[in-house]
Amino acid sequence: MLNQDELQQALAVTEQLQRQWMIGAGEVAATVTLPESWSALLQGTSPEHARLLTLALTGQLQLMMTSGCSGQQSLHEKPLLPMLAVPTLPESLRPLFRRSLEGLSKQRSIDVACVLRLLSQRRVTAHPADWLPTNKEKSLPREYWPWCRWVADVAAMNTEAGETLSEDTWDQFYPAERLALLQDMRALEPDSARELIMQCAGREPADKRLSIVGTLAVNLAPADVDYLQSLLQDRSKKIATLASQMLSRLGTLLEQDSAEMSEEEVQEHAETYTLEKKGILKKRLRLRPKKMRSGKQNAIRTERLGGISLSAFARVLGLKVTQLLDAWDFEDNRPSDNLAFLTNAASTLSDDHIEHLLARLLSDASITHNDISLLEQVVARLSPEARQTCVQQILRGKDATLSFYDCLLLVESPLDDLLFTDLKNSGAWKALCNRIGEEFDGGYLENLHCCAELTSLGLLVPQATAAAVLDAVESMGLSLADPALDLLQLNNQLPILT
Amino acid sequence: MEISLETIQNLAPDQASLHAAKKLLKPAKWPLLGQDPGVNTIWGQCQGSGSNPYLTMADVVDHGYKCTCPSRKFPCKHVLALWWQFADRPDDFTVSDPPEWVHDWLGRRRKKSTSTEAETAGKVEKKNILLATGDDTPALSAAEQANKEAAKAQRAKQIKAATEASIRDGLVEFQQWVDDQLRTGIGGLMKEISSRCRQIAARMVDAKAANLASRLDEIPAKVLALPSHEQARKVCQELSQLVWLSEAWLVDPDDPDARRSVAATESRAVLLETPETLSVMGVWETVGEQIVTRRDGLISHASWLLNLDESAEQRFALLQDFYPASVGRRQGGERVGSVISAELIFYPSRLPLRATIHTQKACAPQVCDWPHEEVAPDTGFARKLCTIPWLESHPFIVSEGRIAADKKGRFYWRDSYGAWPLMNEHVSPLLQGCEIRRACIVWDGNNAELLGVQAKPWGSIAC
Repeated sequence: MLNQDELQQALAVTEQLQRQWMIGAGEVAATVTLPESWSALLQGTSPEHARLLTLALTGQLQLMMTSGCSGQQSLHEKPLLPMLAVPTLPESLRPLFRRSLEGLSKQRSIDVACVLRLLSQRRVTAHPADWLPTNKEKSLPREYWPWCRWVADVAAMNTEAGETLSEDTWDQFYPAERLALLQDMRALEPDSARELIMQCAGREPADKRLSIVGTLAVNLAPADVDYLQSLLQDRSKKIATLASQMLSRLGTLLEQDSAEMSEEEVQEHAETYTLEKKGILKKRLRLRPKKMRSGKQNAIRTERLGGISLSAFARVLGLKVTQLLDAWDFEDNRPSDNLAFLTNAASTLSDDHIEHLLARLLSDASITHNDISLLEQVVARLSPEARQTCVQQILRGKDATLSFYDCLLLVESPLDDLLFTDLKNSGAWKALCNRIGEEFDGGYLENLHCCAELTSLGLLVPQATAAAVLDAVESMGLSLADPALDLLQLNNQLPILT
Repeated sequence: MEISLETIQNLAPDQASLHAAKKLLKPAKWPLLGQDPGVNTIWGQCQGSGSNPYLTMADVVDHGYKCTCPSRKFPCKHVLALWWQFADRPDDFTVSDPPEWVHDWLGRRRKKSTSTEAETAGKVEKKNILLATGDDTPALSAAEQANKEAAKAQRAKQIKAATEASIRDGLVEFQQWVDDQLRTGIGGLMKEISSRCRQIAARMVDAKAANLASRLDEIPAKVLALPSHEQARKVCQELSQLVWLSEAWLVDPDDPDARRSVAATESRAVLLETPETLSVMGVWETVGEQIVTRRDGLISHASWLLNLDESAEQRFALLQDFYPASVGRRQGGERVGSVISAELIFYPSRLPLRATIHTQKACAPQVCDWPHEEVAPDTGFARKLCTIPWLESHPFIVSEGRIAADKKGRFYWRDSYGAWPLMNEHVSPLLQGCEIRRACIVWDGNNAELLGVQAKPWGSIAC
């Protein structure tokens, strides 16, 4: 057994020898004195063999004497991933959850956040080994905010649970979290929220400021007018436009502050339409576009539709705004014009007018699956509860041609209430059953549309309905192991709130 | 749900496959058989030549199938044997929900005209399942049998002597090569490390020192993965260990550790016939997996199993499989956390690690901390090196630590003993952000590879 000094000496010899071998050495240099314990082993061997044995001994000594890193002061550790307030998914459901995410990644059209919202509705969260936010997601359920803060490495990550948003704590919150808190604040104390926005929004970059000002849409009231008027001079044109749209919703936008379209231009625009009466018994106003002479003129009309004051447009046509909304002909107008008109309406009309417009859209049989983007514009103005009601109304309508995937785009969370008896009478269900009947050949469902519809259903319906849907598709011959049913299975197996 | 022998005969790629499948019909080879009539699927675990049982699953209606064995015959003998057993003894298949690995396959598979293809292929060669059921070797008298055995033993002795002579010449050549590197300079070797190692590895293959050749072939990859200031030292250490190995073999070619490291690993069949093998019954948890594509084109798949019995002397077992890269690289970490109750048979060694599963049954996940010894990895490894000086690495369960990083982004395992540099290029954010109760690392004397952890409060996580 070597003592400490002998070990140190042996290690020093090892270093010397290795330096020699790096450049090449026929014999051990005279300056290197091998430890006595080694000499005994090397005695009587040829120089070549002695060299090999020396190599063997030095290598082993180094390996045996190596310890861990010594400079650990310069190492840093990532803060601990915070625990969420909501429990994680039961272990038995984690494989199904992972498969569901894998399936979604293949479909690409449905966001992971939809699955997380389904979990949130059942008061469970994902296991971090199965899913962690990536700093890119925007609309995650609130349960995951602590993880978002952790992933974003926000400086003051030790924000205490329940800490309120204020001027002092503004920077301690993750941006998406701050927006949601502002929306909450607007719902309860709109004036305090506005004051806070006035104090803090200025220090944020334009894109974040735009989202922050956007929270004023919740409980938008005449008390916000002064602040909105001041934003008309904001250095960001997008913010000035948003402020102008909000003022328009309040009906307090002054003509000089409105979009750059003059009365003459509004008049000129109105002249590109024909107002007709349609129907035999019940005469209905119909605003039809005149045929333009060139594509350039069509493009100008589309651009104007996006920026025109709809109240000015209605006035020039001799109509009220509600009459304009009723008269607009979705069939005759070009899709881009329909979209521009509805985007403008959704941005600038008051809540009453939006309600009127939505009723009009839902009752119009000409609004089909292809027009989902139109509906999305308007539904975005509704509260989460109103959106659920709207989708339930759509699904209960026998003639509606919107798909389940379309409906999923319209809601923020799975429906609280939808019976299978209602669902099976819907146009979407009948269309899905027909399509499955045509496509299914006894194996696994491969039709992408059917797969997306079943996945959407899994993310849309309550647990009892998911179970009934699974029974129904099984009776059509589908295997319950089919990956297209993974989300319905997850929905069915997730614990239910009691 | 049924399948006829005639169908199996048509699906078999050739007569040899049917013969091979027939030999797998013993129930002892199938520790697990199951079926789910709802999805027309049967499955089983077959103990093949690999250390891990093959996971075999098949559809009895559309005749789709999957097996994790590396065979290039489709369907392989394991799938044929699975169908065959189902045709003969359907009651042996327990009706249950498909396990996770079958469910994964069901989710991924697409209906294909497998049966049609197989039937078409089957027309190329005449096959008969009845031929496979009979014994086609004529019976020998006792004297003939004894003569045959003696001749076989004589042949084996001659082959062994020729092989040893060849290896001896090869090792002498190898030592000469090492000496040349020392005389001409390790610096020169490092400039041409890939080509020089490949050349000497090829010579060792010619000399029938296949495992030594593989280790030589892997030196460039090991060295080049390190920071430049550690590379020269690593080359010296690797060469020194191989000198130890060659010396050990030259002194005693029958030493099981030296023989296995220089020449070849015993087959599973030989291992089972060896009387003095160590056999350990216990509850084993997979604590880490290493999947590496080697320079010779093979994929090395190592599964580290930990005996969950606190008082067990045999703590670790290594299940080592090799398969060609052409069958596709598997994803590592899938088995981490899985638990089996099994009897493992260890390859004879002064430090028994490598093992194969003799019998096993599935086991519910255990909620317990991984047992570990209160010894730092460097100290523990030094002790192991005293036993086998050419040991490449050894697993350790380390406890109560965190993952840390230096300014260059290199990761470390940090615990009460110190900070241990990790070879892992990527460590998931989750692992960096949790308190780790237990971690399985493989320490090679300089660096560790983190394989799996038990994290607080997230449970077992693969790396």
